[in-house]
Amino acid sequence: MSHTTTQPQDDVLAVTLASDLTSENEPVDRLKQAFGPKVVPGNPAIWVGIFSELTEFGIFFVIYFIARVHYPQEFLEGPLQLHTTAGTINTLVLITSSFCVVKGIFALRDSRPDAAVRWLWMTVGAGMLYLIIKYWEYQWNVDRGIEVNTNNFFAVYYYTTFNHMLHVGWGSGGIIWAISQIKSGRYTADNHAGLIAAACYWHMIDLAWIMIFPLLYVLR
Amino acid sequence: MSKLASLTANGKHLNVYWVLLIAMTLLSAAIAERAEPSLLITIVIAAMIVIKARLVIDHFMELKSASPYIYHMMNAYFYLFPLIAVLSWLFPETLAEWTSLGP
Repeated sequence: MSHTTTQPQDDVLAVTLASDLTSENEPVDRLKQAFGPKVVPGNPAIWVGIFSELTEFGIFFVIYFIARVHYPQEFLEGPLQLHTTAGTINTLVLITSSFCVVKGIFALRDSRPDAAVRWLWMTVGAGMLYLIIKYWEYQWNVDRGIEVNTNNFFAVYYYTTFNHMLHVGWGSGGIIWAISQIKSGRYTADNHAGLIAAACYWHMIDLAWIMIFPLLYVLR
Repeated sequence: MSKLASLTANGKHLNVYWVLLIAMTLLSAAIAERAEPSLLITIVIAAMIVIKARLVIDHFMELKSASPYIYHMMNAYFYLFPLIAVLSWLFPETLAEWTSLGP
């Protein structure tokens, strides 16, 4: 959508996007009132997506806590049967990927698009590594007879981590899109709201795992 | 420009936060492998979730300078669930009773 590529600065995007969409002043004023003088990073639409995704993960977390208090023995023994090292490596990989995204943004702001692209490719590489490790972990589980219907703990584990894995997949697609925009010159030091939006989505994926890892692999 | 301001401008301060996040993750893994379940461990893990989330939200997402609605909602989310983790350790029977469908 052209709105995200034609704005001169990220920090006026919320208001200018709204003014593009409507000729009435009233909705724009309401938007200004709602967000005040502070910025909406990326664009408002991505935050609808991010909070929708966090709501989805929040439902998974609520289910985790409910299942945990109803089946304490399964949740006491379950984490011990998981491959903690695989979970730990994936946490390190995702944290590093989040670091690479923001380093890429700083590089682009510093008018170093080639460096930005390198950082973002490292993010995508980390995402792919995450998916490979997760696939290997699932295979390792299945080889030991751990499947979705093994017990309630593993049902929660598979549904939550598989859902998260899907987000890593399409989040990587968003970063690849941002790379293509930098390479084509559409995203520059002064105009890269779309990259900010993709980055915020990626950080949300990292944040969800920051919650998932301790709940499923550490806490008993 | 002060040294700190210079580091912040070129993004080098992010390296420190990355190291902190890595260190806390390794500590969590060590706890998972060795520590027996307890209230103290639950509180430590919950606190680490909050600290890690705040580091990502404040510095990687740069939400400190964003709309306060977004910033506070993001923060609230990552305070709420660690708090529920501690409460579910302290009052498991009560939570089980509240979430039971039967009479």
